[in-house]
Amino acid sequence: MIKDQKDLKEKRGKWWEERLGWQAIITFLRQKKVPRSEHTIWLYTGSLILLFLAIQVITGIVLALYYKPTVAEANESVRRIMTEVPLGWIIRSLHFWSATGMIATVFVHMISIWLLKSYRRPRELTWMTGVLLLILTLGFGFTGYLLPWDELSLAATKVGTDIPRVIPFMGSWISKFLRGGDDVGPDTLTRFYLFHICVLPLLIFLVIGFHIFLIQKLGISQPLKYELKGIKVPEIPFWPDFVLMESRVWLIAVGLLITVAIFLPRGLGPQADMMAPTPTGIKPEWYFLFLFQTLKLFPAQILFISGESLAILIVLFFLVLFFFLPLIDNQPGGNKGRIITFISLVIIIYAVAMTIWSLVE
Amino acid sequence: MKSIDKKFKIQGKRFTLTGIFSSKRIPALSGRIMIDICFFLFIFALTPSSSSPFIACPKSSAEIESLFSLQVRPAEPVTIQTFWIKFHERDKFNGFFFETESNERMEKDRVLRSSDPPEDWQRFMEKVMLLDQAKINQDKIINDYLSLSKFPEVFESEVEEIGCLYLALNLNLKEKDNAFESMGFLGEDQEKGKKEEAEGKEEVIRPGFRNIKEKISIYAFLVWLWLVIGVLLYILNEQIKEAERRRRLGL
Repeated sequence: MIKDQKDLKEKRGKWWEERLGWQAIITFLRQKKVPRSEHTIWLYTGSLILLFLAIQVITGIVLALYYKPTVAEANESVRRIMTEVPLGWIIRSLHFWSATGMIATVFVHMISIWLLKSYRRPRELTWMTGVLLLILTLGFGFTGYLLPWDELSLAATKVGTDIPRVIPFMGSWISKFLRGGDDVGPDTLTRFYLFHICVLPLLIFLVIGFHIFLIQKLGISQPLKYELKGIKVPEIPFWPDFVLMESRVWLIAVGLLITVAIFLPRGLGPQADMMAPTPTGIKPEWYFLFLFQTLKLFPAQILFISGESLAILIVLFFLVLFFFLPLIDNQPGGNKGRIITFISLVIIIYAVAMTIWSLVE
Repeated sequence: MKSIDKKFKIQGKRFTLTGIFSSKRIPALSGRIMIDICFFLFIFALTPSSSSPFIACPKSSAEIESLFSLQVRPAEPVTIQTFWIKFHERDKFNGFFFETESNERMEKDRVLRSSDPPEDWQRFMEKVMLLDQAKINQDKIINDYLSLSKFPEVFESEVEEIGCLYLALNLNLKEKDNAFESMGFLGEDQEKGKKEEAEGKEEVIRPGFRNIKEKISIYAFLVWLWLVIGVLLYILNEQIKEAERRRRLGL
């Protein structure tokens, strides 16, 4: 009896093996090594981002079953999701908190790689695709914010879509393209919905695919300080050791996410009124607060340019530098590398301080 | 010609605001300012439950530059809208109004309030308010009225059967100047309407458990979830130890 069962199992295994060749994948994962050091904890953030993304895809599909992307119905449909659809408010809350978790984890992931200088040769493209993923993630947050079509989301989108105007030559066109006209309106909502559920997911899966391919091809970098000393840190197999260790983090993250989603559910404001003045005291989501606070610090006019325009151009300039950081920081162990680390720390502290300042203000 | 098409909701009723104005006379920025002003006026003055006329007029510091009209199409007939035209000085047209099917009622209200014989501007207003749209479009009345000859082609849109016409002004506003002041006649219903509007604005959906059954079920689910997580974490820890042992042994 047992022998028969074993034979059947083997037979089934062969059937799958013949079609998928999964043994080759298992062998690859067993041979794939992960450096184990005090910095290993930062490696968990990568898979955590994918976990949050998966939760967002699932909850997003459920929400899309009931959401109606028109000015007249958007707010009402979200209201319906939260009040009539069974457990709809939890689904929406899970979607919101997984988005927040994803953006927070992307920030932590980027900062850890930034400070550990894991972008150094030959992983420049891995870093650049990572920056693209950060932008796409923020794009998800920005487009998704408008979809409930409440007062705050409309005001934030008006401000947000106005920002590209300061970009020379094509700024106005970008703003108009995003809005679908001169002002935020029905076309903006349709476009943002399309970006949120179609364009951005396609782009993010493409870039994630390329990012993961690069990680598999180049492997995970050794910590810089050990590499400079010529010490090779011990490595563990990706499968099953590292996956088991990561699984603990996933479990805790899922538990925390569900708990937070239940006890801190996302509310819904009154329907947006396109002709109403901007409500007082509006603030963007936490991940744009540093930019928001920076804009407030700048005076109205600096020489021949408006303060706001100058601030946005400076931020865009830093974003370009950030993208090309591996090419700029081409001597991570040298004096140039140390100066870049110092500047990086100053920027991170500045962003955190601005965010906290804006939150408590 | 430039047109706008905006939808909005006031006191639970949905409206489509369709504005048509001459882009030759009104630059884009001014147009936007005008729409804002008109909307402010619209929100402030629209009182479907009130039969009392409401007068609003700009302060003398606000200079009129041009006029434009907006067509308002309520999704459902608005019961009564009574509005007044105010001439601040005789040579200026400093007001706004809704042309509605209830014009007769408005006229009646005005007559009841005022025992004095109507002045020129009041007669003009009556004429305008009681005209049908086809006649207004001919511009005759406005151009015939001498003091208003500088404002030709005021009306450029046609009003639908259930609609009303909103006449607004392009104002040259001075900085930090509240351009409008209420001239009274704001009935109790209007106050009530405004309060309801304000309450409606603050309405925020705070999600939560719908009933005790849902609350208990979700709490039970949370307890079960954390128990499962605890058990799985224990199993994972054991598996990690086993994997480490096997790795050390070179298996």
